[in-house]
Amino acid sequence: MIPRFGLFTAAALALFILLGIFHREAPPPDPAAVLAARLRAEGHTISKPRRVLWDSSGFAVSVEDCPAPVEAVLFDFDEIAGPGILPAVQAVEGGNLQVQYAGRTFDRLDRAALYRLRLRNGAVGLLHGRLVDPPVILLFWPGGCAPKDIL
Amino acid sequence: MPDKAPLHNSPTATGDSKWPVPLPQFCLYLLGLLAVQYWAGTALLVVRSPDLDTLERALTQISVLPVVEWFMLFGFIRRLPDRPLPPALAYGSLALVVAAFTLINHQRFAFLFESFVLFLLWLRTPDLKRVGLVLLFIALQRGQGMTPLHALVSWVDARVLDGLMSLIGQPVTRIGNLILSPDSADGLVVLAGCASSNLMLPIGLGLAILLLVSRDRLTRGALSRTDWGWIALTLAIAVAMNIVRLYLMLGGHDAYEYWHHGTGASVVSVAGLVVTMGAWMIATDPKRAPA
Repeated sequence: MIPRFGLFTAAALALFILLGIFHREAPPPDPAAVLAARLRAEGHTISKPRRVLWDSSGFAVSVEDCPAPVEAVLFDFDEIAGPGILPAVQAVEGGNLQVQYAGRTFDRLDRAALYRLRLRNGAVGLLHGRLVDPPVILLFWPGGCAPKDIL
Repeated sequence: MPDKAPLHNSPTATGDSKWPVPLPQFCLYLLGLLAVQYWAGTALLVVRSPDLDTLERALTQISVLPVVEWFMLFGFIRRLPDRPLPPALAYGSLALVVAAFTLINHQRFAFLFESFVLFLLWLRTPDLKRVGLVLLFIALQRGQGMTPLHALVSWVDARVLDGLMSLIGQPVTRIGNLILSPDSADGLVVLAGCASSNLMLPIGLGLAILLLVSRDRLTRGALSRTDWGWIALTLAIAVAMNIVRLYLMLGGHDAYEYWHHGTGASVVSVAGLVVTMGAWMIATDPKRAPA
C-alpha cells in the first residue's frame, strides 16, 4: 500500500507535470536585436559594431550630427556592476560613455543608482508577477558629438 | 546542539497524530520530488535532442558530480533512523515545495528558494538538519544568482594573473579585467564566467556534500576541522588551476579557443572532478578517520 505522504507527493508531482515542468520555453529574444529593430524603425541606421566585445552583444547606430556611429554594447547587470569590466570596455571602446538601464539614462555607471532602480523594478515586478532583469546598455559616443537620449 | 538530541521523536512531539510520517519515507518522497525538479531541465535537453550532435552536446553539459551527490544523498537517507516526523513539518515542507514551484516562474531560482527555506525549517530537527544542509549546498553549487560573486572574483583573478606574469618575467598591461600581452593581440578579458569561483563552487561545495553524506549517521557535527582543511585545500587548488588556465589562454587566439571552449576546458573540468573525488577518498579513508 502506498503511504499517505507518498500519495500527496505523487499529487504534487502530477501538479508539477500539469504546470509544465517538462515544458521547454522558447528562449527570450536577443535584447540587442530588439533594441536595434526599434531604433531602425525610428529611422536610425544600424550597422555591425566596430568590434565584438567578448561575450557581449551590441551594434552601432548612426545618429544625426555625429561624425561616426554610436557604439551600443549590452551587458548583464551583475557583470558590468563588477569592478573590473567597465574599465576594460572603456579602454577598448573609447568615446564618451552613456549608460541606459530600465528606461533611465545616466552619464556614468552610477552603481548605487542602478542598484536602487533594479531593486525598485524587482519589487514592482514581484507585485505584478513578472520579474525581468533587463541588460545594462552602454553607449559610446564618438568625439565631437554630444550624448543625447536616443533610446 | 548535538545531533543526537531527540527533538521530535516522542509521541507527544508528533502530537499523537493520525498522520505520522516516518523520517526515511519523508526524505525519500520529498527528495524524489525535488530531484525531479532539479533534473527536469537536463532530462528535457537529452530527451528532446533532435540529432546525435545535440545529444552529445547535452550529455557533455551534465556534470558527473551532481549525479554522484544525488545518488549518495539517497543512500544517506536510507540510513536515517525510522522516527516519525511531526505531520506539520512533513506536509508543510511538501506544501512549501509545491507553492514555490507554482509561484516562482524560474525553476532554478525556485529550487534555490525551496532549499534555503527547507534548510531553515529543518535546522531545529536534528535528523533533518544535515539533509537540509546538503540540499542547500546542491542548490548553491548550481551557481544560480552568483554572478555578483563571480564578477568580484574575476577582478581578483585578473590582479593575481597580472602579479603571476610579473613574477615569471613576462609582465603584462592590465586595465581593469583586461590583460594585454605581446602574445595576445586583442588581450584577454576575465569575465565573470571565467572567474575562479566557477570552479571553486562546484569543487568546494561538492566535497562538502560528499563528506556530509558519507559520514556515519548523525553522530558527529556537520563538518570537522579536518574536513574544512580538505575543503580549503581543494578551493586553493581550484584557484591555482584557473589561474594556470587563464595564463595558457594568453598564449594567442588558438590557445584561447582551446582553453576557453575546446578540449582544454574539458580537461580543467575533469581535473576538478578528480581533485574533488580524490580529496573525498583520502578524507574518508577509514585509516585516517579520527576515533
